[in-house]
Amino acid sequence: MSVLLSLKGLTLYYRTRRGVVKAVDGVSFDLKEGSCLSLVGESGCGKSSMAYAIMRLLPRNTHTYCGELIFDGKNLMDLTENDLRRDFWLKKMAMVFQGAMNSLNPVLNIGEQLAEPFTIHLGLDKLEALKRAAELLELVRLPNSLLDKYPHELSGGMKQRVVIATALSLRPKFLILDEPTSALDVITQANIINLLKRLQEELNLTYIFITHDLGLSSELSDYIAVMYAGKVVELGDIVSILTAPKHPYTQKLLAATPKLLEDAKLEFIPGSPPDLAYPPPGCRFHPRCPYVMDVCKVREPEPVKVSSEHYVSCLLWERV
Amino acid sequence: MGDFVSSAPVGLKSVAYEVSHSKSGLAGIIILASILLISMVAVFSPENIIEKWNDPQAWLDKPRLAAPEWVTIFTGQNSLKTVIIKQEDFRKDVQKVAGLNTTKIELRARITYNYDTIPTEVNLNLEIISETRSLLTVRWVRPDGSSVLLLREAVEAGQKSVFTYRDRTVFENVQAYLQKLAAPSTLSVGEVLFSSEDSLLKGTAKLLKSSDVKPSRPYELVVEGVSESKFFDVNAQLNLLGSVYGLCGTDNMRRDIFVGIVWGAPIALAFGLVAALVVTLVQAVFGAISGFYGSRVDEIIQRVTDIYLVLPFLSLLITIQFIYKTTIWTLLIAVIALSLFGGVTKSVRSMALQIREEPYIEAAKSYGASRPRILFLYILPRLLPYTFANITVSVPAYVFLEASLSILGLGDPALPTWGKIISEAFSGGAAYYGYWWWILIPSIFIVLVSTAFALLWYSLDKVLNPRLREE
Repeated sequence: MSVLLSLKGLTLYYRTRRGVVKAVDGVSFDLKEGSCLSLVGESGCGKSSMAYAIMRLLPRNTHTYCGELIFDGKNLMDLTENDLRRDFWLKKMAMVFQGAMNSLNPVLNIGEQLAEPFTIHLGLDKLEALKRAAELLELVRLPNSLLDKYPHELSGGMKQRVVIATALSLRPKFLILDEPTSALDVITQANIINLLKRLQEELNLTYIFITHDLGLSSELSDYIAVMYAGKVVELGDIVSILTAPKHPYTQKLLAATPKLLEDAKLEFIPGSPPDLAYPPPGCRFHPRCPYVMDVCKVREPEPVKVSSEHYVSCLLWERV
Repeated sequence: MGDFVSSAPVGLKSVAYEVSHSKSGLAGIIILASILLISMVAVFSPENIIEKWNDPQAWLDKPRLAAPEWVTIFTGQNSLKTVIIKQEDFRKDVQKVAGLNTTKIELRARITYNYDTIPTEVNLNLEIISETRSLLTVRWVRPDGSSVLLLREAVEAGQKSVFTYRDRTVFENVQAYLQKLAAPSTLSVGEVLFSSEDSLLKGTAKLLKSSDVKPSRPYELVVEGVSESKFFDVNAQLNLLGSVYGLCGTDNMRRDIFVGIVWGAPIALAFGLVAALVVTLVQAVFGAISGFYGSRVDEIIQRVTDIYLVLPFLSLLITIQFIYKTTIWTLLIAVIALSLFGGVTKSVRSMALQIREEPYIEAAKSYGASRPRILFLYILPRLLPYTFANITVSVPAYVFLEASLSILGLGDPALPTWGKIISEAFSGGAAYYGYWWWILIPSIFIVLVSTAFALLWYSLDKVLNPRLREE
């Protein structure tokens, strides 16, 4: 399998009143075509900012945006926004936003909504675009009768499916799913995950799946990247991460996940994620780390290869 | 595949359907449609009413300051509506007096008069065709057989109007008649003409109806002309003007207020609608651009709006109108030009600021929608309910504005507008003398227009605002 997406030192800082927030701070990884990478981490650790950085959908208050972002052999950094709009967004890469409930235009009905990409990009007339919209609904297993319904008439799961359908309208091969199942009940979550799995097989999609639910991520992904304070602290294939986590943060995160068959007491990680405007020096996890050493407070860890596809950024492992 | 297309919304048609199926919408549509219908009459009428409106000669066959006819329902009085005896309704007798070479023409009009009031005016229009002077005699014969001489004089050929109540010769003749009867000379010409001679002998004036004598007999006007001319001819028209007239009454220039209402309707609608639509939409678009684009664009639009907001709108309009005395359409352009930015810009901007941060805007951006597309398809529709509300509120406001300018004497100098009718009522002392119809009827129409738009908006909002839609 070839590499579809390759990040090298991807950085995204925001300008805020409190100072410069380092939301994504030098993230590097490669993503193979047809695989799924889960980005997990606590709230506010830069998961969604990663998504925006990869999509190059930058907020108004962007301070720094740099690094290398190679998608399908092209460095997206070299392209203008118009190039992206014309050739990439929706045609090659698309994003399903956090909170699908609010990702639909409340004044357009589902038909018009789904027809939008065809009108914008392909210049189809209304009738033709509506026909394509109906096909999209079929793709995500929704009835055609939804075409003239408005978003507020749909259930959360239906809206999520519509949002996924919109993202797939021009058949991109890469999809960023930003917490596509948050705010949905578990049955609907399962349905959506199954749908995503099926779509991945049918359309040979590559996913980046952003979630804070390790259980869900294990359902869908081949790789897991654990983010902490704007950095990827551990990256590996799903089996090694879930069975043999190396980074203390990953270990703690897993320990904090409820397990069905064990009656173990849930652990929690003391403290809260750092303020990204003023992250701690050295390893960003050191104030909360149970194995903290003096060197952790000064030196930033580099990724260490643990096994063929397993990397960890921790000074404990650098030593070994 | 075929059936889903038909189930997709058909736009205007379905909106119209739903509006017309709600009670308030229907009421609004009915009122507005009636006013529109009235406007159509005015717009497509071949008559040049606007010229006629300002020509005092054109309204002589209408009573002055007559109340609407339907007030008789409430007063219970059988008040005189206008009675016009046209020249073909006069019985004409032509006699050639042999040897003397003279022609004698007698015209006789019969008026069955059973009303409870005497006419406010009795006017006689004569047309005399002759090459020499001719002798004209006009007599008034009451049902009781008594007669009053109104006129006996030598007249030149041509048109002659005799306003019997105001004519000097008639007055003198009537005074002479009263003296003969030894009746008080304070009685007016009208009272004398329409009273029985018996009551005049007693010194009072009692209205004599045709039905008071048995068998019932009409009043008669007899015009006699004698001339030596070979082609001598006399024609007459008699107008008995009452105290009630038409649907809406008349003003102090005898103009039918109904005509003013009908011809004022399209002007009021056009002025109100165009001003409200253009002003609100322009302000909303500027507000949305300001909120959505932000930064320097926002700053410029907001500062310009601030300047517009402190402009003394009415004073400027008055100045413009005072100096240029423009037509109402130039005034409309001035109104729009003075309101390109304003309150709507400010409130729409604040709403746009909120909407532009919503996730669906970001989603739209991610599927490649351009900025103008997001502005017009994603942000502006969300502002439509507010904008529509504003349009409906401002239509009456602009109709009122036109009325206010008219009251200040700054309206269109030629067109009959509702505001101008009220302004003329104001200067004609209608409120003081109690000519209520002159004020109330145009006011009611202004209120009707506002009500219609309010009702219409109420139901439009239910349809257009997806949040209020119920399935």
